[in-house]
Amino acid sequence: MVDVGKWPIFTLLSPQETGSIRKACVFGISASEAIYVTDSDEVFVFGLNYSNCLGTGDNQSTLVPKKLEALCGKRIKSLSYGSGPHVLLSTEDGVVYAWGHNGYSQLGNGTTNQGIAPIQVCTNLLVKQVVEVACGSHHSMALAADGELFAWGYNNCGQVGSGSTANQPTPRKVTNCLHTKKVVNIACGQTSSMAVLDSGEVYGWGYNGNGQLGLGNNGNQLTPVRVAALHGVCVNQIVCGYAHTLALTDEGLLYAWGANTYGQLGTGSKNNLLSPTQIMVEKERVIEIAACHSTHTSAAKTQGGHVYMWGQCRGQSVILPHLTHFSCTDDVFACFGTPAVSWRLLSVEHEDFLTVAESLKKEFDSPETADLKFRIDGKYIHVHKAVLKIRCEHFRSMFQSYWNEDMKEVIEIDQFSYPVYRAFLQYLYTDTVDLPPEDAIGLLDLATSYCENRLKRLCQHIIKRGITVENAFSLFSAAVRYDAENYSTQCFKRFEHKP
Amino acid sequence: MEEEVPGFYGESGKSVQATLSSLKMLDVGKWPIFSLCSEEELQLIRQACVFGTAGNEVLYTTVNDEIFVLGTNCSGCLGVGDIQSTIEPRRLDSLTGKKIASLSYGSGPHIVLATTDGEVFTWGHNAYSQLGNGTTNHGLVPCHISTNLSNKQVIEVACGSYHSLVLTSDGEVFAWGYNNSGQVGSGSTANQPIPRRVTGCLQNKVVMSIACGQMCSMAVVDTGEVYVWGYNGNGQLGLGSSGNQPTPCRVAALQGIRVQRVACGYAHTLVLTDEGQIYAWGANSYGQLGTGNKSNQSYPTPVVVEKDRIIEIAACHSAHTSAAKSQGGHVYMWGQCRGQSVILPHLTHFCCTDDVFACFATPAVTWRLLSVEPDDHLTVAESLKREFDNPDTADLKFLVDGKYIYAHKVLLKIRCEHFRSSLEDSEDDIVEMSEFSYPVFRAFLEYLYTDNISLPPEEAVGLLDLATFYSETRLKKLCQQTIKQGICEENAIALLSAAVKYDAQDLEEFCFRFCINHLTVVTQTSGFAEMDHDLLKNFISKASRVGAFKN
Repeated sequence: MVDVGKWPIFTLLSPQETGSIRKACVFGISASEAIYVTDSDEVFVFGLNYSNCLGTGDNQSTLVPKKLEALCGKRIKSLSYGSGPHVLLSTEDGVVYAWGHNGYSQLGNGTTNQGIAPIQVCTNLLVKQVVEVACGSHHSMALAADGELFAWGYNNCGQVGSGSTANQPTPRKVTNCLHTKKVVNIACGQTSSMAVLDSGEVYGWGYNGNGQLGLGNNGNQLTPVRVAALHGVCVNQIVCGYAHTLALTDEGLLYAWGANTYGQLGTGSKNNLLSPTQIMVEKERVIEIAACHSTHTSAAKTQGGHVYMWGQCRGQSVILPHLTHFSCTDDVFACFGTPAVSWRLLSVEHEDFLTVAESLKKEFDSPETADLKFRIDGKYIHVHKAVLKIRCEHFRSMFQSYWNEDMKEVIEIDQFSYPVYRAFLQYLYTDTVDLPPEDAIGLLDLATSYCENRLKRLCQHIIKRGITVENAFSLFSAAVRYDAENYSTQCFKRFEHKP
Repeated sequence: MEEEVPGFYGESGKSVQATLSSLKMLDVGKWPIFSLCSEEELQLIRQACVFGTAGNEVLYTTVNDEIFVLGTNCSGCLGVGDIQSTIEPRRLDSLTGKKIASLSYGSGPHIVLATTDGEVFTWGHNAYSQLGNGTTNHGLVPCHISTNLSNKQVIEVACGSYHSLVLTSDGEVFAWGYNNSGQVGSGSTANQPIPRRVTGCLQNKVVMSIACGQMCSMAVVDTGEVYVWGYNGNGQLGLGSSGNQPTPCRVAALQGIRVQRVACGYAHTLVLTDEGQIYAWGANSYGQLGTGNKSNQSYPTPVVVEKDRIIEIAACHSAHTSAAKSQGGHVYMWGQCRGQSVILPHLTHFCCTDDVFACFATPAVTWRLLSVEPDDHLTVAESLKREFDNPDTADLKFLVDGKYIYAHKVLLKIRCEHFRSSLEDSEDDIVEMSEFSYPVFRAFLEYLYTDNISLPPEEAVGLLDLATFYSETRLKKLCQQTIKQGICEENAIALLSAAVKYDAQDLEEFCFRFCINHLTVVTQTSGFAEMDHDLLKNFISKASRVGAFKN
């Protein structure tokens, strides 16, 4: 489902590196930082390293992933980031780590010094098991398993919920209306905070200049206030954009409120809304909503697997939910968001079934299901007649024209070498060639004889990619032996170039 | 059984792997904005260009020689006659049927396009006469530019931020637009409203290649010499000084070197010689010269890229990024890369230079018109898909509901544990199947050949039963997904009934929730009226428990 390849920054990694990714997050003001977790639970970071947000202990940018030793093996569960950026995460053990920008105490360590490496956030959280974290532009929140909520950092609009506008240097429990309540979901806008209770009620506090708290007015709130307009509605998920808010009910209904300058509410207009309004996404039940405090984009996924987006989309305003070609909401932010940052920690699940192509690859040279053998240089290669017929015109006509061949169980091949012929058959099963350049010359000859044009191009690619000063002469010799005119010329040119 | 060593290659050297992606020279999927197009639309694309100040505009041609545009439409740069943005491709009707030979764009943006007939069309931003139609009005639709060009065949076009250049088949260069730094090459700094031939030192020369930086222009002549004019504040003209040049000047430092190609970034310049070497000069604030430092250079400096011969260089006037491709197919990148400064050529995992600009440049815009080669060769998966139910190569027939489905024994064995055992040692050519319906069983076999299913939701329930019977876990997931995606008020009761019948509990719960959420409409469908008595009773009981009837 989730494909990290949709995020341009991940093209800096090799296919092997991206293949090992299990969790990932793209962040930063220009989506130029990334953190990922591998299947062996190692943690890597790479990118610009603005405000030391990579946590590598220095402020050096890097194109090559660097390992964060302090977080390896910690089993990251929840992760969020701010605009500074600062990074906040919690582990499966409920421990909280933070690093990066700290100009407003958003790291929660009691100082305003930049955090160059991950540090554990301890005050008031040591005895708690944190299950979720959320960040606004410069404030942080942590939700404990027992439903208690802690906040810290920038508080200019009351987004910390302490009742004042003084910045909060360490985690402080958010009380007042939430004192005896159990919180089950949290989210942050730029300078606002939202919480959902186990009863389905929604509370908001902080900046409300665009109506993003949903209270029907524009007044900032220094302590949590219940969204009264959602009375009777049971909310189970809340997400915040830059200045808008989306809520999802247990019946799959979608509500939106706040800023609407880019159509991010999906109401069909660009008018801000101070109170929740239901957004229609066809007739389907919505199972997931997505938004990020850095963007003015919204996304939703329905139970039928359809993904919709609205709001800011590559510089355009989409004022109604637009059906995309994606299968997950994360792709909306990878391709259409400004900046193109993750709205959550991506999880890559690897299915364990074999595709058609993988099944065939596995059965190459497997005697169990094979019904034909080739004998070359005294060695056997097991194949399936049907596969050869389907994949190669040469075999199709061979098995049709010569009935005797079709009846045979062993076919002798003497005009090609074993590595070359094996590579050819493997190509028919896998679309892949894996050969040293010298043998690729032989395979090129075979491809020419059998009119396999794509195979010829793969051989040419191998020869070009594999040519070096050391093997140029042997390639030239091989090319002469196989009478591959183009490639003897190329080898000779290279030989001539460096006398 | 004979012992085989698959990786053994005797005395041969280190192996090199080649996959299909090695051959896929261009993948528009690397450009996020193409996610707005459907798979069918993407398959038709033959040429494409991503442009605009944030890479939010697209122009592409199709296999049918139609031209489509989409994006924010800044300054009317989509050419569709209005300034309305669009996330759906719109066809550029006035250019339908014309084949694009060359295309370039400016920062306004404005577009300059040359057809294979040698005609020139322009549209978009025109505040500095960069459209060449004699006015400074924005062009909302493609305008044919013929002044001084009517007897010429234009083969190449290039744009700076606000000026335009064209090269004709007889080696002449014409320029127009913004001329504040002499980038038009007319000898003055007055803006040029219509195409004017660039003369001076180029008077008797045959130009082979042209390029533009933000406010400078370049030309390579058939003798391999490079001529430059325009803004030189970062040394991007390569003359060893920083003075602007209002007329073409030869780059003397390249004496004796035969240049084949020139490429310009925002304020830096790259050239490629006929021996596959790169020289760079100009601004270096992001390491875009690739010299290992960030010092500007006002004269050509060699760029060392591996031992290999370079066959292609790339740069774009909107970006501070450079790229190169070697004869061995390696693609290197240096300069500004996702906000980082890369001061030496960095080996990427790409197969073409275009991908460097798609993924690393700021903004992510194309440095040239992308060309997609159609590749009609079938992959392993595509081959199998085509051979499904094909009697020509099949060796087995299933008889279901009186109809045949053709298959291959070996493939069924490979793909399904059930067939692996049931077809073992079987010599039968025809197998009768009575447990499942024709659409269901055919869908199952098609799944074995393609990994996919395509069935209406009602039939997918039957396939769900088959998948359960044959222990095909993934097929079950696909069936449930198909049913969930296809559920609507009209068929919800039928699906619920089927889910109960086949004991698909997760699906039953889903269908039940759907019926509850759409209760008013669902209760008025014919499916509801025909509902089995026990099912109806159970439904009402469950519905009341979840409070469906409270008002």
